[in-house]
Amino acid sequence: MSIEKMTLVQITGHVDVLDKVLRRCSDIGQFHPEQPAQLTDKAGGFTQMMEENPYKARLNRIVDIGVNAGITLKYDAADVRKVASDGIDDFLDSFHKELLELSDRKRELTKAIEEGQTAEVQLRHLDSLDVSLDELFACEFLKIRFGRLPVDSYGKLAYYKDRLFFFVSLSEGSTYHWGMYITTVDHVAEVDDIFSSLYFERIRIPEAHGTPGIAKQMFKDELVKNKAELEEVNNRLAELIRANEEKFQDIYSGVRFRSESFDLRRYVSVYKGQFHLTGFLPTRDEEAFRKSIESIDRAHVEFKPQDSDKRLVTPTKLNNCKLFQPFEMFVDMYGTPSYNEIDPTPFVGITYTLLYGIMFGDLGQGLVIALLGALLWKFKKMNLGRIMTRIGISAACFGLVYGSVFGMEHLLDPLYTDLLGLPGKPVEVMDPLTINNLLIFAIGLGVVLIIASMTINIVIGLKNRDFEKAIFSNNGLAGMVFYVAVLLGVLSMLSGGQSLFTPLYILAFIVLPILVIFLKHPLGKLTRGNRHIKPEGGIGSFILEGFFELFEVVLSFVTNTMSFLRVGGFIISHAGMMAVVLTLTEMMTGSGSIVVMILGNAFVMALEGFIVGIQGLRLEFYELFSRYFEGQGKPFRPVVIQ
Amino acid sequence: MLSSFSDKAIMTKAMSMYGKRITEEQYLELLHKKSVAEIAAYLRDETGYAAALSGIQPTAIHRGQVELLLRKERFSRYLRLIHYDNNQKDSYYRYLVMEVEIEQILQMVQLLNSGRAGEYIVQYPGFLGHITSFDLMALARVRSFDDLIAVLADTVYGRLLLNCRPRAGQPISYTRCEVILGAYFYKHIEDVIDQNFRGKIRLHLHEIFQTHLELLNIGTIYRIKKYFPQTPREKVVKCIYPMWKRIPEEELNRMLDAVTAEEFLDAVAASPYSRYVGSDDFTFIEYHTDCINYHMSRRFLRFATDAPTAFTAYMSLSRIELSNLTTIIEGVRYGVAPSEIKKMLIL
Repeated sequence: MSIEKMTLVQITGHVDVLDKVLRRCSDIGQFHPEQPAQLTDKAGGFTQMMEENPYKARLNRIVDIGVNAGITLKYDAADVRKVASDGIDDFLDSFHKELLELSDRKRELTKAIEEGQTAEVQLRHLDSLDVSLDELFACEFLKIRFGRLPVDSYGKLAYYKDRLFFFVSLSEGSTYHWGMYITTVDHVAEVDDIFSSLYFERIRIPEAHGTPGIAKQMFKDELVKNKAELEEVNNRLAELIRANEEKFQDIYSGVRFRSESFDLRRYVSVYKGQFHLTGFLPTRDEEAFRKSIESIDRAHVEFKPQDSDKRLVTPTKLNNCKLFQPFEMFVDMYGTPSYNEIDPTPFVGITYTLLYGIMFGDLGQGLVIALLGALLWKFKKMNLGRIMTRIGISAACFGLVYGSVFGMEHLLDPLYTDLLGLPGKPVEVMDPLTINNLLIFAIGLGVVLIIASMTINIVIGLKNRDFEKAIFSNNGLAGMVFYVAVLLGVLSMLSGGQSLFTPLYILAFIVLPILVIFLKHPLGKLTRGNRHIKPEGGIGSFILEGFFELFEVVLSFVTNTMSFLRVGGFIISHAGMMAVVLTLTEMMTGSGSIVVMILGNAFVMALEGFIVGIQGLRLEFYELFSRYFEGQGKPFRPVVIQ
Repeated sequence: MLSSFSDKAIMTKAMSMYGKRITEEQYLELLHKKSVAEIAAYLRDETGYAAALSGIQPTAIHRGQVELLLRKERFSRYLRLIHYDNNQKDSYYRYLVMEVEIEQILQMVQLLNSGRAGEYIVQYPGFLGHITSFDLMALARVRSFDDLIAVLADTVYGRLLLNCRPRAGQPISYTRCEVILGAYFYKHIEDVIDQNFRGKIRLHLHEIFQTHLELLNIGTIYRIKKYFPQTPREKVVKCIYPMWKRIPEEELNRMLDAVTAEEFLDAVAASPYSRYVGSDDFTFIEYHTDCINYHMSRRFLRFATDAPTAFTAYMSLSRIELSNLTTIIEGVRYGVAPSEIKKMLIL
C-alpha cells in the first residue's frame, strides 16, 4: 500500500539483438523507458536511433480505410500472426478500391442533395422578388448574381463603396443576408472577386428558370431521385463492410504489433554498434528482468538506485491492495503523487467509503448499489463499478446502524430487540435529539480528518526535509497547533468548564503559530540556508499580502470544518426523502403502492446516490487533498502494446 | 453579494461550456474527413458548434468562412460569459478584448510590411467591431504607419507604437511592436490582478500569466538560437518580455549566453524549467508551449473554485481547441496524412 520502489535500469548490447530486447521489454510490461534525448546530450558520441518505421505507412493506411468504412478497430494479441504479410496489400487494394467507388458516389449524391435543399431554401428567400428571373437574366449590359452573404461580410460592403456594384438584400437571417448583386458586364470579374473574398455563396438558377416557383419544382424532382439512389449506395456499402470486416481486423492487429514493436527504437541511443537503453523498473522485478534480458546473447543489464541520475524524474507507480486499488482513479483525477510523496489512495479509500456509508446509510439500497457496481465491473469493466461495490457495502453496514431498509425505518426492529436484546435501533435518525448529535458528530469527524490530513502533510514535509511545508505552513505543525488550540478552547467554553483561553494559552498556542505562519517564507528560506530573507516587493507589500493571506487561512479553517456539516445533513435528508416516498406509498393501494415504492427508491438512489458521491469527492479534493497532496508526479508508463 | 452571484454564474457557465468541448474521439473522426465540407458538416451535426454553423451549406462553404465562424463562436462564448459580470468597465475579464485588439494591430503591421494591407478587410473579424476601442473598418483603410497611428490615436496602443516609427524606406519592426504591445498587455493584466484579487485567486492568475510569458520567452529565445545563432545577446534581450519575474538572473544569463539551440535546451533542462523540455525534439516549439498551457489550463479549470481562474483557464482551452480545429481544417485541405495532423494536435 504505497508507492512502488523503483530502480534505474541501463540495458546495453549489440544492435543485432536490439529488436529481441525491445520485444522482451514489451512482453514483461514493467519497463518504463526514458527518452535518450535527455541523456545523449552529455555523453559524446551517442546518437539517438531515429530510423523510419517501415510499418507505419501501412498501419496508417489501414486506420484510414477503417475510419472511412466506419469499422471500430480493435487490437487483439491472438490475431497477430493470423494473416501472412504477403497477401495483405492485395486484400487492402481491392477492399479500398470498392470502398472508394461507393464512398465517392455517396459523397456526390450527398453533395447534390445538400445543394438541392439549400437552393430550395434560397429560392424561398427570393420569394419577395416580384420579377421574373427570365427578365433579369435577359439584361444585356448588367450581370446579376443570386446567393447569400455572411452577416459579417455584409458590414464590410461599405469599404467598397467606390466600386461599381450594388447588393440588394431580399431577406436577412442571423448568419446570412439573402439577395443579389448587380454590376456591369465590364466589371463583373472584379466584383465577382470581391464577393468571393467576402464568402458570397452563389446560387445557380437552372436554365429553364421562369419564375422562382418553377425553379423550386425542378430542384424538388431532382432531390427525390438522388435520395433513392443514396439509399441503394448505402446498402451496398454496408454489405461490402460486413463481408470483409473480420479479415480486416486480423490484418490490423498484425501490422499494429509490428509497427509498435519497431517504434520502441526511439528510446534507444547507439554508439559504435552498441545500443543503450535507459529506464525505470519496479525494484521487485529486478531479478526476473535481468534473467529475461540476459538470456539474450550479447545483452547486458545494469541496475542503479533510482535517484542516481539527476536529469531523470523517477516515475510513480501506485501499488495498492485490491481493496483500495479502484480508488486510484480518484487520485489520478487530481494528479499523480511524486515519487517522494505518500500515496494517498488508502486514506482516500477508507475516508471515502466511510463518508459515503454514513451519508447514504440504508441496508437495502446499499446492497442494490453494491450489486449494480459488481455488474458494471463484470460486464462493462468500469472501475467505478468496483468503487460502487465498496461504498454500497459501507452504506449497507451503516443502514444496519440506522435500522433502515429501502426507507422502512422499523423493519429491522425485531433484529435489535429480540435477537440482540437492545431497547431499540442504535440510531434513530429522525429523533430531534439525534439530529443535534449527528451534526456534532459530523463536525467531529471533519476535525479528525482535517488533523489526519495535516499530519500526513507534516510527515511528507519532514521526509523531504521541507521544513517550510512541515513546520511553518498553515497545514504544517504551526497550523495544527493553532487549529487544535482553538478547538480545545472553544470546547472548554461550550462544556461549561473553565475556559482555556488564558493570556498565556492565547499567546503560546494561538498568536505564536499565527506569527510563524505569517513568516513561513522567510523562515523556510533560513532553514534552507538562504540568508536573503528580505521580501522582494518590500516590507509594506509583504505585510499587507501576508495579512490577507492569513485572514484567508483562518477563515478556511472555519469553513473547511463547517463543510463537514453536510455529512450530518445528508443522513437526515436521506431519511427525510425516504419518509416522503413511504407517505406516497401509503396513499396508494394494491399494486400501485408497490410501483411507487420501487420508483421512489430508484429515484432516491439515483439522485441522492450521485449527490452523496459527488459531495464525498468534494470533501476529499477540497478539504483534505488541498492540505497535503500536490500531485505533480510523473506516471509510470511501461512499454506495452495494448 | 451581487458580485458573488455573478462570479458563481461565470464559473458554472465556463465549466458547462467546457463540457461541450471537442473530445479526443471527435478529433480522431475529424482527422479522417476527406474535405473541408465533411469537417464543416461534422462540426455542425455532432459538436457544440451546431448553433454557430447552423444554416451553412457545407459543400459550398469556404475554408476561411468556417474558420471565421469558429472564431466568432469562441468570441460569442466569451460574451455569454462576461454577460454575468457586473463591473464590465474595468473588469478583469476585458483582458481578452485587449488581447484581440493587439492581435489585430499586429496583423495590420505584418500586412503593411508585406505590402498587402488591402487584404485586411477580408480577414478582419467583423463581429468584433462593437467591442474594440478603435474602429476596425478604419484600421482596414490603413496604408502606412502614419495612418495606423492616426487610427489608434485615442488609444494607449497609439502612444506605445509611436516608439516604433520606422526610418524612411524601412519596414516597421514587427518584433519591436510585438514586444512593446505584449509587455504592456502583461504589465496591465498583472496590475489588474493585483488590484482586484487576493490570496489563491491572485496566485493562480499570476501563475497562469507568468507561465504564458515564460513559455513565450523560452520559445522566442529558442527560435533565435536555432535559426539566427549569430544574433548578439543584446538583440535577443530586446526580443523577450522584460517582466519575466520568476527566473533568477543567473539562469537567464545562462540561457542567453547559449550559442546554439542545443546549448539553450541544455540550459533550460538544467533550470527549474526542465519540465518545459519535452521528450521529443523541439521542431515545433509552439506545439510544446501549447501542450504545457493546455495541461495547466485543464488542471486549473478542473479544480477552480473561483470565476477568474475558471474563466481564464476556459478561454485558454477554447483558444487551443480553435487552433486544433484550424490545424485539422488546413491539414485536410492540403492533403496531409491524418497521422501527421494528429502529431500537431494538442490533446
